[in-house]
Formats: sequence, structure tokens, C-alpha cells
Amino acid sequence: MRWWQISKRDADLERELRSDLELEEEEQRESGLSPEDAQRAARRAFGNATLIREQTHEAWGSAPFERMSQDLRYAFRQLRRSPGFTLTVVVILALGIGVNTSVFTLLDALLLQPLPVPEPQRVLTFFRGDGRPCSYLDYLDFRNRAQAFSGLAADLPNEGGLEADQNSEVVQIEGVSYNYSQVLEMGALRGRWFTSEDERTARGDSLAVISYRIWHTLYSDDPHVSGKRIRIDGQPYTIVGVAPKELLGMSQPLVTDIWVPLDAYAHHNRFVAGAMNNRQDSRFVLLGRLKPGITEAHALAEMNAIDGQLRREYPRTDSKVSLLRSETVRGVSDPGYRRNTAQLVALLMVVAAMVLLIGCANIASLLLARGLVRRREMSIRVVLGAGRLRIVRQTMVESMCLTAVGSLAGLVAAICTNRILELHIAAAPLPVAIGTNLAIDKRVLFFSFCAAFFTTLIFGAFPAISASKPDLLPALKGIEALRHPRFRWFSPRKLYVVGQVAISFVLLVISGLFIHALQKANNMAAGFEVRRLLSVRLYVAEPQFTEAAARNLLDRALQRVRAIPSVKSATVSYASPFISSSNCILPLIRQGELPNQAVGENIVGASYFATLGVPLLAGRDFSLLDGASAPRVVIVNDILSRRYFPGQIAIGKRLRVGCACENGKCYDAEIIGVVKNAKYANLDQPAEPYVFVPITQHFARYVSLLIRTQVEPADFAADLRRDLLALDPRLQVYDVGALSDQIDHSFWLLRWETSLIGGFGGLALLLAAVGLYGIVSTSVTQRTKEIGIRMALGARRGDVLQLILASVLGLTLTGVVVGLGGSFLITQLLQGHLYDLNPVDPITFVASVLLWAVVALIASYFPVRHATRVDPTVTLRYE
Amino acid sequence: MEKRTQQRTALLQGTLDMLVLRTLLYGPAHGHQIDKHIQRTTNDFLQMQHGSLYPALHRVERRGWIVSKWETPLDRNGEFKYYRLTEKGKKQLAVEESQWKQMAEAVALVMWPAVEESFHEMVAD
Repeated sequence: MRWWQISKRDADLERELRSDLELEEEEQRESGLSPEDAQRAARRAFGNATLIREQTHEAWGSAPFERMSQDLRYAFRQLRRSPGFTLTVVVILALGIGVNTSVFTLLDALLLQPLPVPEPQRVLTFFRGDGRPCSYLDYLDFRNRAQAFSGLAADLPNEGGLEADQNSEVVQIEGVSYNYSQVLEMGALRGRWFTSEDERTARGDSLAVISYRIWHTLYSDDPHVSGKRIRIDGQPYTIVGVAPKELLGMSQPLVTDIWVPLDAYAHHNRFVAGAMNNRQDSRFVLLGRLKPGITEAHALAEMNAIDGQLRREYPRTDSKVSLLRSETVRGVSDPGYRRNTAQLVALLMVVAAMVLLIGCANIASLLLARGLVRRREMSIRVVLGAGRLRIVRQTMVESMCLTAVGSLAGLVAAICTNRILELHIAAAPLPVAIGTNLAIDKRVLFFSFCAAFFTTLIFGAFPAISASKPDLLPALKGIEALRHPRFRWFSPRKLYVVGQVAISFVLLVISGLFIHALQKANNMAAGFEVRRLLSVRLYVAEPQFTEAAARNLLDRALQRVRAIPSVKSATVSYASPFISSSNCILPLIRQGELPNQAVGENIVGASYFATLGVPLLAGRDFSLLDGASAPRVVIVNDILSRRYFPGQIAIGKRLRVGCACENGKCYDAEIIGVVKNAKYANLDQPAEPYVFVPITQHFARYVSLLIRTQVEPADFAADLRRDLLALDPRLQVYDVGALSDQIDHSFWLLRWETSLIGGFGGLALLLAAVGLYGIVSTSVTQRTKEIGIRMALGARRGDVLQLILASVLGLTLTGVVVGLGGSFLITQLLQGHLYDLNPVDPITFVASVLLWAVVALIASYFPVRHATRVDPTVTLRYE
Repeated sequence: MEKRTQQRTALLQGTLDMLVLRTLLYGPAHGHQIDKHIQRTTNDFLQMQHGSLYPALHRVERRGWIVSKWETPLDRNGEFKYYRLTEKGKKQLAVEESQWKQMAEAVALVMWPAVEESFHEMVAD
């Protein structure tokens, strides 16, 4: 039965019944009755026509639908009749559901979005512990031995300098095996990917696939981009294709912009070549597509079996190697990043859910208040024979309508906030582009639907049940108000207020902790002066410059810079503080059985410490004496010295250092100096042990000039770039920028989180305050008569004030106490996320309590003022 | 009286559909005719309120056992809704009839073991 047929059917039935009734009447008349009597007799014989119609409707099987449409019509009529109420609820819901949908979209993009390839659930990636699984040589063996995959690809994410069409920027690059696109079964947006064919025929030919972003921004969607030349780290590559727009690469949340074949990449890049020939260098990502019919468990077991064989065949120096784990690629795939991201997103989800809960409590108490107003209507309906279930259903249908409209508005709101979030993320001041696909997909829609459903259940159920059992007699007589305000410890509306206050208090505390952390971050010291320090990243390309020529060029560059009048001093180093890190250039090979400890490392030129302003605590700085042929020397920082040589003088001791990228070649070096601790990577992390080697003994082509200036460095950044290029146009100059800007940028994420969570906290506070205001003002309205009588009997304004304020403050206080408990629990979870966090930070807690006290007073001021102005003569006359 | 009606109604619930189908075996009829036929053939024992026939008619129609059409009878003016048995309805009638027979026999075996033979003959007629 279709709904549009019902009315037609109904008319038909009507006609049928009438014709039957007429026949009956006719028969009765023929048997000799008067027309009136005949009509009556016929009706008697026929039975209750309405009942018959309803029973027949049931036989059509459309009764539930009919009841539903009736309820819907009624609900919409009710909602239209009170536009203020409806608008308030819809706005609250739109905010709540919008915020949740938006945060879930973020979660979806970062943790759930599958690869944009066919059957993405059959593409596995592997991990070992929290790290990447294997070396390139291991990969080749895995590829040859594993039977579970239709293809197994290797992928080495890296950062590099891109020059295309007169633009140069630092981008994320992936060196991939030739079968990459075959494994993913993914086509190109324009042109093509490299194939196994390229591997056989064009070995060493430098092909590159560019991302949609590069194609769009640097080539303005040029359809004939294939064949154009670009340079990566100064080396020439030819574009063969554009990757699909949705492909963000395996380094998410960083956006990969260039894919090159590993062979070609290694041909041009000594570090990549080193990594590819070193079985210890486990920095390669594995991607495997399961053969049809093979399960993930089977494939993983096979991989671990091969891994076992490989370890027997090639014993490792690091004995503790954990088993491989597999995972379907979804969102951010790097396990370390993924854990951080998950923590952040989980926090945001919890916070957003809290906002929605507060909104629910608000709506629930609005509905309850409305239920009181409509008590009379409900009573009449009950008296007229409406079942309890029917009234519960009717009220729930009303809630459903509200949620439906609210969710739609929420979805629209979410689309807007997603766009803002996307722009905000894309504008993040990071050296490499980051981005996410914040799309409303089916998972997000499903989430929204669930959120709306549970929202309705949470805010709608209790008011519905309470509305279904009105006290008939007093309600009908309209005298309920007099007997209503009896004291109850647990009334649902009190519970809502306490819940709201508690949840918003928890949010206040969380926001407070974030704000506090940000404040601390802004006051954090690096251990050296970061202002008026300019950093310039340089790359001295490999075949164009021999090592000697490169050293010569760098020396000339330094001389040129030092000659600038406003430059106090200048130095060169491999890693630039807070800008680039020196991953795997010089891992320290520890002496003896020392605890597994991250050790920072850097290759630095003479006067590095003087330029930065890091004091030398003991020994001497590097000098010209520490040439390539001189004895190997290192400088360490205080932490390293104390940790490795406790109670001893570190100067003169020897350390084994070496570079894993160069086949683990290591050497002994003498410690010639100890410098004060400083932070070079993250200001919000404690200082790490550090070791510095002289650039004279360990050459680097990727370096940064660090320049201490007397004026603001931005003033001559452009001139500096031109001057450096004038020395040799083949020198590549990137990222000329002030260090203090970079440090500022490094707090981008924290600032972003703080503004988001602070926004949620403010929203929650506002909603809770509105809720409190609503409760107080309804309760005052209900008690108008009572207050009138009290005043008529001699109560003064102060007494009334006290009466109302006591109940408001009582509720608020209960909420704050519950919130305090909740905060203690929840802030424990923030530890590890916020550096140097005191989960029971007294300033934050006291400030939150005070803020709530003020909010409670403001929220109750207006209703209370209204209460004290009650004129007893008016209220009593009304009675 | 009230109680008796209830008993009859309960009895009717399951069998009314079958009676309707059986009535239509003679050819198309409208609601009033079906009602009168059932009343007369049961010697007014199954005297129900006419209206209660309609839910049954519509239920049976929804299952596809009968079809309906507005027609003008030869002897009268005005249209009436005539119901007709479908092939599916004929099959259904056979099924229900045999079920009812089995049921009646079974009940008879318990209630009147001695007169089993004669009842059997009676049903067979």
C-alpha cells in the first residue's frame, strides 16, 4: 500500500459501506418499517461504521504508517505554534550536531579514510613496534619470497627541495618501487605512473609523478604537463604524470607532492642510495595487495616466517626486533603519528560530545518546562482516551522532528566549519604542505545519524515519559501550580542542571589547562637567544660540486655573510634549530650498556655555539685544527655528559659515533668540549642529550647558515638570497627566515588545539549558563504564586532573594563539585599530551570555580530580580 | 447475550475468510449479498454485524485471493463493489477446507468417539 493510495482507498471504502447500508435500509423498509426506523435498524445491524473503517484500515496494513503521519502532522503543528522554542532547540542541536559532525569528519579523514584505490581494504602495510618494518634489501627478499600478495611495493618518504617553473619549495617526496601504482591498482589523473616496464628498460631514467596540488598551484592544471622538467634537490627529473587528487601519500598528515622511482632517487641522492644498500636501515614502508582469497592473518604469518628466515640469514646487531604487524591503510598510516593523532582527535571528540550533552540537557529541560505548560493539554488527551504509549510516542515524534531539522542544520554547519578547518590546516605554517580530505562521506553521515538518534533518546525520553502521566485532576482544574513546588532531592531538572554545570566545568578546566600550556610555551626558553637569528637552508648539489668545491663554496658564502655590517656572527650547521632535524645522520652508537635513549645530533661549523649564544661549560670549541685528517673530535651537551659519564670529567673521554646511513661506519671520537643544555627541536619537550661533530670532519651538502644580526633579520633576507646566488647560481637557497618565526610556527598545533578546545569550552559555558537561566526563570514563574503568598504573609524582598539564590547556588555548587571530580579523572588523560602538565593545576581549577560562580550569579540575576518584584496583590488576585 | 456474541466472533475470526471464499465460489457478489448468504445458510446462527465482514473482505483481497470491481447489477441502478474469486483464492479455499475438515474430524474423535462413523459421513456429505 502506497501512502498516496490511502485516501483513494478510503473514499472507496466509504462508498462501499454506504451502498451496503442503503441496501440494508431498503430491506428494512420492505419489511414494513417507517423510513426513520428502517434507517435506525439498518445502522444497528451494520455496527459501528468508524470502528469498521479503522479495522479495515488495519487490514490494509497501513495503520502504523497512518498513525505515524498523524503524529508527524501533529508534531509539526505543535512546533510551528511555538517558534521561539523550536528555534532555540534547533540552534542548540545544529551547534551540537554540527560540532560533533565536524570533529568526526576530522577523525574520519585522519584515521578512517581508506586509500583512494579499488578494494582498499586489501592493501596492507606493515610495522614493527611503532616503526617502519624493513630495509630495502629485506623488501626485495620479501617480494621474492612472499606468495600472499599480488604485488608488494616499497616506499621511502623523505623531504626534499623542489624546483619547478621558477618556484622552489620544500616538499614531501616518496621514493617508490616501480610497481607502486600496480600494487595500489591506481591510475594517474594525467599521464601515467612508472611501471615495471620502466624498471626493465629505462633504468636510472629520472621520472617523477607530481601531486594534484603541485599540478594545480605551480602548473595551473596544465594538461600538457607530462614531459616538463623539474629539479628535486637540484637533480633533473621528467614529469610523466599527475597523481589522483585524493591520493595524499603515505606520510599523512604531510601531503606527498612528488613520487619518484627509488632507483632514480638513489642515483641522485647519496643518502637514499646508502639507505637502499643497508640491511640495517629499516625506513622503508611496505605496501602489499592481498591475492584474492588470501586473508590478512595468512599474509602476516607468511611475512613473519620470511622475516624469521631473513634474520637467520643476516644476523642483526640490534637483537631486539619485534614481530611484524599488519594493518589496512586508513588515514594517517605511520603508527607514531597515528597514535598522536588518535589522542588529539579522541580528546576533541570527547570535548565535542560534552558540548552536545550539555545541549541535550538544555533541550530536555526546555521540553520538561514545555511539558508542564502542556500538562493540561496532555490531561485532556488522556481523558479522551489516548493511551500512555501513544502520548510517549507523540512526544518522541516531536523530539524526532526537532532532531531532524536540527541535524540538517547541523550538517550544513559542519560543511561550513569543515571548509574553515581545511583552510586553517592548509594555512599551517609548516615547511611541508599538510592537508586533509574533510569530506562528508557515508561514514560521517552515519555518525551524524547515530548522534542525532542518541541525542533524541537522551533529551526526549524522560520528558516524554513524564508528560505521559499527568496528574489529571489538578491539571484539568488548573490548580497544580499551588501544590507543585514541593521539595525533592532528585528532580530530573535539577539533575540536568547539575549535569550541565559539571560537564561545562570539566571543559573549562580542560581549556584552562590548554591555555596555561600555551602560556608556558610562549615563555619557554630555548637556552639561547632566538631573536635576531636568521636561518638560510642551502643545498650544494652532488655532481655539480665535488666535496672540495662544495666546502669552498660554503666557506665563501660564510665570508660573504660575515662581511655584512649588521651581521654579528655567522655559522653553518647541518640541522637548523626548530626548522630541520638531522634524522639519521649521526645516531650515537652507545658505549657499553647504557639505557636506550634518544640522542640528538648535529654537524656544526666553527663558532656555532658562539653564534647561537650557547655557553661552553668546559673544554674548547671546534677550530681550524680539527680538519679532516686531524683526530676525530666531538662536543657534547651537559645532559649527555652527566648521563654517560656521571661524576666524571667528560673532556678527553672517547665516544663511538657513526652514521647508520653509511653502512654503520663508525669511529671513536674524543670529547673536547661540553656546552650548556639547549632545546633545538621542541620547546615543549625537555632538553635532550646532544652530540655535535665538526663539519670539517663530517661533510654535509644540506646545510643551514645561521646568522646572528643586529637588525631585524627579515630586513635583508631578500638581499641575502641574491648575494648568495651571486656567489654561484648553482647553489640552491631555500627557506630564508627568522628563527623566532619558526619557533612561533612550532606552536601552531598547540595554538590550534587551544583555540578549538577553548572555543568548545566557551560554547559549553554559554549553553550551560543559558540552561541555568532557563531553569531558574521557569522555577521562578512556577513559584510566582508561592512568592506572592509569602510576601503577602510578610516576607521581605531579601527573604525571597535568599530563597531563590540559595537553590541556584546549591545546584551550581553541586555541579561544580561533581565537575571537580570529573576533571581530576579526565585531566589525567591529558598527561603526555601537554608538556609539563600539572593535572591538578591550582590556578586553572580556582579560576574555573570562580568563573562558574560569576556565571551562576549572572544567569540567575534576571529571574531573581523578577521574583523580588512580584506584587502580592497581583498574583493573589490572579488566583 | 454479550458473551454469546463474543464466542461467536472468536469462532468466526479464523473461519470468516474461508466462508467468504466459499460464498464467492458461486460467482461474484457484493458485500451485502455475501453477508446475507452467510447468515441464511447458517440459519442465522452466524448472525454478525454486517460491518465486521469488511475487514475480512479487504484482508482477503490484499492477499490476492479475491479481486473487486465496481459494477452495476442488471436489476438495479447504482454501482456495487463486486468481489470475485481468483485462481489463487480457489486453491486457498481447497487448502483451508481440507485443514478445517481435518480439524473437525480430530475434534469429533475426541468429543464423540461413538458417533465417529456417522459424523464422518456427515462431513463427507
